[in-house]
Amino acid sequence: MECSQVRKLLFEHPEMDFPADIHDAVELHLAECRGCAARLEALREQMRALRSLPKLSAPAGFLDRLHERTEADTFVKRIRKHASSIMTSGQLLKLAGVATAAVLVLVTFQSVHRDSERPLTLSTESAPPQPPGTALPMTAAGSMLPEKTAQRQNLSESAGRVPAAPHVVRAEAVTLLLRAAGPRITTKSLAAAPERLMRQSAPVPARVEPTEPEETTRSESAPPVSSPVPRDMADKRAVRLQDCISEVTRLVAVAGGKVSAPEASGRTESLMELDVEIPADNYPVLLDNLRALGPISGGQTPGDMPPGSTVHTKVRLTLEDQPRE
Amino acid sequence: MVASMEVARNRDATDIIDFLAGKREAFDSLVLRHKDRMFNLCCRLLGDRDDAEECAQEIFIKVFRSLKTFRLESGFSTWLFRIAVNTCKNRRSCAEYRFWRRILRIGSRPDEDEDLPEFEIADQAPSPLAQLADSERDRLLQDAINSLPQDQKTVIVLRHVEELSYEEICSITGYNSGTVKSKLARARMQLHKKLQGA
Repeated sequence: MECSQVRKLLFEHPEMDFPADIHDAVELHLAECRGCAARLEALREQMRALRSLPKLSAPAGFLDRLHERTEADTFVKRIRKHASSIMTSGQLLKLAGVATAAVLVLVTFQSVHRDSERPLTLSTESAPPQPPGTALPMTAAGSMLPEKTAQRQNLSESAGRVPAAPHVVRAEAVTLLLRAAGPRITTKSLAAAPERLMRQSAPVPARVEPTEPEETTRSESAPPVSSPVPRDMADKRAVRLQDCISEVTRLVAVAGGKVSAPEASGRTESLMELDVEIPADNYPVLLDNLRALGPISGGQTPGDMPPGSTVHTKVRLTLEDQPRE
Repeated sequence: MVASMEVARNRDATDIIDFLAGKREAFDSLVLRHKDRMFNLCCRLLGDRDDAEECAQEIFIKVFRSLKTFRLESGFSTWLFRIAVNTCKNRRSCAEYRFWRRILRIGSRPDEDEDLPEFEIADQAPSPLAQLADSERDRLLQDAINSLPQDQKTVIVLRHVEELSYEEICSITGYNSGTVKSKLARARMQLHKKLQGA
């Protein structure tokens, strides 16, 4: 047996656990070869040294540190398990649906709440609420004309300066056409109206502005002939309209409101416009009083208040002097 | 010897059953019984005491997680060794990265050292050998073990340090008997050359 063969066998079987025939051949070679015998001795010493390596012990606190890590691992595992159960059981989709619905409800609620808290504003050209009976007056008032738009903007600006009551929820604009037939608007009829109206509107709200005693006196006492004698028909119409405006202004004051733009001009000589703001509760009273002056087209019946106009109501009155037929 | 192994095996089985029944103390008992052996194995395979403790912790965490999948008919010790060998094998690649990372290359020089060439500095931490071995022989042995390839290192530590049987080594490493013997022979030869050269 060659030395190379023996050395290979020794590295494979350092304990000499060969089959019997090989064992005898190796023993014979080792007895004759000192080099191979020395190599076997070195190999056995090497294995003894490996077995005698010190057995190292785990450092102190090993179990405590392991506890900390397993506790953290258990916590993470619990979260993962819970998340996994949510993912697999379809609860995530349900949760997402509920969250989406909640968000939608919240957004809707905020939108409605924001609209309800919008500050007092007059009508805009975009979306004034249209009472059922005022479609024609709105058109007749010429809202599509540029000058009308300008007037409305001025009205909005002037109304914006009026301090709104803090409990105002919503103010709606209502266009009311009061067609006062010319012959009916006489000094006599105007003079007769205040007494009756004063009796009807006995419970005057706190916001009633003091009426002008001079004006009332003048309207009550002044016969038609007391006004300056018109020299032509236009002058007569102007006088009648001025008287009517004065009377309407007084009636508005009686109803607790005020005329924001008493000098609003009309497109024609026989057409005048007034912007009025009154408490919503007195709106029916004002209508009744105005009917005493002349026929009213458009406007609201007491039961048809614009929705949301619970505190203040904006009314646009159009006074037209129509010649008697 | 066989009787003591059988007693240890029964105690392991009892602790496993108790742990699966909800007794956390049973797992602690398992850890206390096997932690030193696992730490020693990790030290011999990794050559670094800190890495060995970290690896031993990781081994028992794996056991903690997967003990419910353990089948009692097989030996817990063999299962534990298998986990340890695989954990050390996976960690070694990470350790290699950490070793090379210890050499810090300084690419930008401060202004006061403008005349100095680029240089490398080694990590000042003590070497793994200095922490592991007290005597010169043990240091040389551990150095020789560290120089072995991973598979040869594993089989020679399992066979001559942990003194496991060939069957156990086959079960732990997944090699067949012939492969284990051939790897052992090559490992002995490499160690012999290394120690003779030293």
